[in-house]
Amino acid sequence: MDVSSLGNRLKEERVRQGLSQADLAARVGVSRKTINTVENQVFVPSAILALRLARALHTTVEKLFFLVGGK
Amino acid sequence: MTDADHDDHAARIERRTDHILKISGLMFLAWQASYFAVFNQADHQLRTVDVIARAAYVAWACALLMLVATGGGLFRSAAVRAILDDELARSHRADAYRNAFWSLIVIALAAYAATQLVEMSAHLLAHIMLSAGVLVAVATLAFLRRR
Repeated sequence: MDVSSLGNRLKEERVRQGLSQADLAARVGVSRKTINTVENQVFVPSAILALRLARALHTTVEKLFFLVGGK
Repeated sequence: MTDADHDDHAARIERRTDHILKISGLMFLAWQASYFAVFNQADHQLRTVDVIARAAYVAWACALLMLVATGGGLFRSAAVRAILDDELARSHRADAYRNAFWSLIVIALAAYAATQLVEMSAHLLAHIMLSAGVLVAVATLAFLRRR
């Protein structure tokens, strides 16, 4: 999947909850770099990781991730 | 150890692995010059020191491949290994393997054509393919991990 076609509100939601990247990484069980690359739209997470991120932030995948562009 | 401790430990290993990939990859590339300048001359007599150098080269290639395959977390706890082998790391490794595979196919095709015109020893071909496979995998991983 093209990284530019997936937007996210991960950073916004994480900061809103007062979590650092390290905190979120520890909750989800991935590295800080993974959180960083997802936030900066360098890496497109799998459905499983997206669901785990949503669960860790007590929200839904649809609120965290959205499609960019018309297609 | 808490989850945060595991994360700190994994982050330190990641940084160290990044440095090793860059420095060792560049040294591995530089060593190719000495191989082609010294060891691959037609009139070169194979001495004991050359055999040791070649064995060291193979061990070095295997060590780099091991680093690509494990991300540097081989003898760490299961929790740290899981962080080092997360989705991003697996994705980067898959890209490194894919690029290495295609580089080997291109070299094999080139060698197939070249050996119709010039004679090349099996040892030389094996050296070129091993070096290219390792270097492309290491370079891809080093580049992707930089982001």
